[in-house]
Amino acid sequence: MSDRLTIEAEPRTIIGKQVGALRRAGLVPGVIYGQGSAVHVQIEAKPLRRVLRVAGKTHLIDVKVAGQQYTTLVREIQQHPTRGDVQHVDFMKVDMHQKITSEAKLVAVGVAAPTRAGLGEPVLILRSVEIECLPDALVSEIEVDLSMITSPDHTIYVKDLQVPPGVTILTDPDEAVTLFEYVPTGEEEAEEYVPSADSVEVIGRGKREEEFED
Amino acid sequence: MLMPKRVKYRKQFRGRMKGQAKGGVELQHGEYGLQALEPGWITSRQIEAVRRAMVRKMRRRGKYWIRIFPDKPVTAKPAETRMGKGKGSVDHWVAVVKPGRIMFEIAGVPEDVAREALDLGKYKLPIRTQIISREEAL
Repeated sequence: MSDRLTIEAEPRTIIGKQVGALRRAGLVPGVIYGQGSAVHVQIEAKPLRRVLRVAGKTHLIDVKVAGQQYTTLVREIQQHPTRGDVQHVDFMKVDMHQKITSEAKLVAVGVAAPTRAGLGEPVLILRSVEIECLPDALVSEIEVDLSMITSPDHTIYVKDLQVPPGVTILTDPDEAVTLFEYVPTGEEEAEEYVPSADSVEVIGRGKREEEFED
Repeated sequence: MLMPKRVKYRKQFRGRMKGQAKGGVELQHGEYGLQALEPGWITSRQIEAVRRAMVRKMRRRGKYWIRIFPDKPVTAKPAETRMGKGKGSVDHWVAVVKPGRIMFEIAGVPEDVAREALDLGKYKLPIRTQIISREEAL
């Protein structure tokens, strides 16, 4: 079940490329959209980061802007590619009586029987699933019980996942969640054949040029 | 070693590496990744060296992903050749990398093993890199 977090924001008048000045002043530009007109906001970077770290994209956040309160869900976080600074946040207004779709992270719990036998380990190949539920019933994680795996051939599928009441998984039920990785046998990798860099087949103009040169 | 199976044109201009990476800047498959902090050309030999270092450290457990591909031909003239007589022949293949690009990803091994494996991989590359994880994303 989702807990509410609160964050203070101010209405924003600076839009477009000028928002760089806001970022330099320690503010993050954002937008609150959905159900009516959008509101441009600016939020202090430090408290925003604290809230986003806890809430992610799966917890409801109450955004207070100029005396008004919006119940929202973070839809997109834009970050600087190397520094990781939050550059922009999209908040989506939610109607508490209307179902919404969201992503839920898959978390492995338990130990598989073949792991106990020392054969290898099951690896999660699906990281998250798309879920649909009322905003109050949102979950951030869904547990994948690895103890269900009785043999290395046994795969857990999306349809095998246990979800709380009120939550529906929208991801294809036949999609595999786990893949069994055997313990390596210890044999060294054989030296692979390395073709010369110039041996690549050329299609199109390049080839005719080469022929002309010869 | 990685190289294209076939190409449209045999030789290319060098090009420029301005700005940040546009795509491939987020972890897609793994829990940990190696991110470029500088622009550079990564040769197929260097990619293979990183792969081998990581696999050896991980003792072939877990999974790894290579998110760059050397699709740019680099030409060179033979040693002791006079200048002129046209562009040299293709010598090796490189991947063009810009800051922010996630080059390698790892999953299915404990955090300390993953970090050590990526650390070993770092030394094989000609550019500054950083290790990033899903948990530290924010």
